[in-house]
Amino acid sequence: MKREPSLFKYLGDFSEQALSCIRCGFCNSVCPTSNITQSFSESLRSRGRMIMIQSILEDEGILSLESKGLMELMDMCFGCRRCIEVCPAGIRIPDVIAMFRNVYYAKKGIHKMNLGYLILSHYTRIEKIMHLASPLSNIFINNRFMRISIEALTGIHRNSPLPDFKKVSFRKMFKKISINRNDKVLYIVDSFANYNYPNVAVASFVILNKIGYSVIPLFDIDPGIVMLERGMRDRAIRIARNNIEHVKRFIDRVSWVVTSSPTVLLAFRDIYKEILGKRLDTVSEKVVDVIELVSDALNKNRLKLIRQKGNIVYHSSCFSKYLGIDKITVNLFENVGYDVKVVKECCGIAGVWGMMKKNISKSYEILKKLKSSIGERCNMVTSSETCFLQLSKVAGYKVNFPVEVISKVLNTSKSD
Amino acid sequence: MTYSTITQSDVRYLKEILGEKNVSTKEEDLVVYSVDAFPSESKRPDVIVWPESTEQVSEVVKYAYERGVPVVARGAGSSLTGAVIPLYGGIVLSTARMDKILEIRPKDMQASVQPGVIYDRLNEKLASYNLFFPPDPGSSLVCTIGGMVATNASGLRAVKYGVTRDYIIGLEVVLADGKVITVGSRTFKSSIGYDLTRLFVGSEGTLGIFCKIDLKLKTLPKKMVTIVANFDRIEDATESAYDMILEGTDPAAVEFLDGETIKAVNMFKGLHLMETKAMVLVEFHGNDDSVEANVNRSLKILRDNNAIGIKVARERKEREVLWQARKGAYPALVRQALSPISGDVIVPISKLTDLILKGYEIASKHNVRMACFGHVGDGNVHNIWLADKRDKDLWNRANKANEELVEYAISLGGAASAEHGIGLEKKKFMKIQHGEALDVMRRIKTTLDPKNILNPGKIFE
Repeated sequence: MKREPSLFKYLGDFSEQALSCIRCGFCNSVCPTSNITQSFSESLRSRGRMIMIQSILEDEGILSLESKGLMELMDMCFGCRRCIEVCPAGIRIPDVIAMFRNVYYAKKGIHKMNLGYLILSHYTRIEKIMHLASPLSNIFINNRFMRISIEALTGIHRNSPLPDFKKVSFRKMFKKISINRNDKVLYIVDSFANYNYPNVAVASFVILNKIGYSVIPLFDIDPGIVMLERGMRDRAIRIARNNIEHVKRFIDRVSWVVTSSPTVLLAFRDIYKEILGKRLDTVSEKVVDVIELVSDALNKNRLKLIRQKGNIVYHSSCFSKYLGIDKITVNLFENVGYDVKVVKECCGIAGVWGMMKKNISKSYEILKKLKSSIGERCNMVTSSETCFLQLSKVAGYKVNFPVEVISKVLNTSKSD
Repeated sequence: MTYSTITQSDVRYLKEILGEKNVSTKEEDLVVYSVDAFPSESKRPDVIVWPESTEQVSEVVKYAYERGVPVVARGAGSSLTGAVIPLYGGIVLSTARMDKILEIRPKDMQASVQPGVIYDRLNEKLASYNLFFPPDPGSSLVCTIGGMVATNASGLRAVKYGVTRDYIIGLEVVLADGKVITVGSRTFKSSIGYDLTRLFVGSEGTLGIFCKIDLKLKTLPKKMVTIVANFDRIEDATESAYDMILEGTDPAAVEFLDGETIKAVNMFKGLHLMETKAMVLVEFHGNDDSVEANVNRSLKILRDNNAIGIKVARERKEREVLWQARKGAYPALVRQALSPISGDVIVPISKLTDLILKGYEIASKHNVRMACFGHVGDGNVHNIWLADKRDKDLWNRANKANEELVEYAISLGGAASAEHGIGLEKKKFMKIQHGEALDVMRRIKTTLDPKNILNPGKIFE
């Protein structure tokens, strides 16, 4: 069997992390793919992935990057980051695996990557083009024959919940509704909020205005997280650098850099610091979620909300949980008066992972576990764009974003 | 002992018994099943099998016995001692697919489970009946009931609730020749001949493979109170623990953290614990006013032993905050070294102070960084030797230091292992631990497993 002594060098700092794994198995307990019936073998579980990487690093001569089936096993990690919280050794397990993928594709060529992943990694750019022909794009996305063909060509499952395009983007709406005030925030409008579900951007805009900010939108920002996770690290670093440069142009003019997307927040607050270095502190310190500003404004009496009654089922998406945004959101809902049931189980979409044909049965098994904890019908709230798609289009729930819930409450209230 | 090598024909036969998907010889599987949480050893099996029933386990073991092939039963693989590393290759028999809670009998306060049930999941289910299975190892997130029975596992609550062995009332066991026997009875006590149940508990897969486990359960306590106290002297901390036990305050947990551990926890979890020489956490469980009476008596004991910064918590969230320190101990220390060695010694409780102080002396002698924490309520200390496998000299010194402390504990009337088991790691201590009784253990092993196919090379040669 061919050996990979150079893997140590290519993984860099991640080698140390991988070797510091003490194989306790705690990661298995929280990993959504490790806890489905299909994953009875340790090689399909989180700890198993770390053991395999250790084996290659320690040059045991059994596994290597040439090993058949190895990358499919690595694909069972979809980067939810739940393991990071429980790992006693503090290993950023999803980042180790993403780097492993990066090394693999750097050596073997990007053509080895599943075409579906390649396409979905560039979806922000694709959406910009598809929006221009939105009625046609919607037909394309929803036509059964087209979806079967896409599945055959790319591996993107025919029933995966690709988002529809709205006729009017938030960008167009914003031209008509912008308000000028002294206190400004830079609002990073991700492509989902711009093209597919402008309600979330509108709601965020309304909230920010009510707090007293005027909004400078920043459009067409691809956070690059999918690229990084799937093993295109160099491209992701380039995108990250560009994004930081874009934001830096505004940083001295704004009080905050705001987003309503957990993926964007993760990128600027956590991932970019890891891939670009600590010099980003001036940017990452200013990046907040809209919900965090609401919570802060309430504490400082810059906002008042009329108390509400009712139940909310809140799906704590993976990135929201990792960043702690879920706790802030739940506290906010409870302070408003809602009875909140928190659903911590993963919904199985995991960004783009659950859209692939090869992962669909696992994705559905993970979703089934979530559904069994809440039943068939309810109104749900989630912060994540792809969780929204999975829960509404696949699971059939009525789903809103937290900013939509809060903006409705604000509309019935007066602020100072 | 020589064993037969697994052949293609063997693999085909196993697939016929278990189904294609429940048998693997893939390289990735062989690699991941070559290790457990013990840092020092790895050995590949020849095949991994995932049976789903007692009948399938019996057929696999019977075949292995006839062929002379070793079988290592494996739960979560969270053993810290190398207990499930297949030293002689052969078959790893994973219980991952035997993970059903078969029956809960709330009126009898009993449950029957398959060996692959995970501890925390069992207690989540039992909570709705106001019951729980008390022994709570630190690996409760992942460890299986089968693994706990195999190692007689225990944890924080042992001082009040006892260990796994105290809760196993019956077992269905597959013996080395494939025969299935049932031992014990569904009663809380009996006197019906040799207690085979207690023989199998702690046998680490060397005498039989558990396929069904009958558990005794306890009622969840209604009231819990936690106290945390800091000390400027280790002796004051350990003496206060000792006094609380002797004076019959009946704590549910008495935990100790030394100064190094407190610093590590502060760094890791961003807490602001008082950085004193020692910390003690005590918890009381009960259903009535006796809990408060015990709390008050313990507070007096702590003050009499010069405790400072005492805090008391009664609400769940407050208690969880206090317990963060203890629960963060192991992760905090693990981050300080690439290959930490975890000790697990136990001594009579009156010798606790001597044990802890000796640990520091040995660490200094061998120039190895060490921190300790543990279940001082029952005399059990976990010394974490901060080693690095890549530094061979440090690795050797750390291992030597650990061995010296184990020998010291045994000399005080203690034991090499309180709860982790022997596995590979502590085989070398079995002679000094047991003397002539070790030969009796060997004879039992030879009688039940004459071909030595069940987890060979563990506990003793």
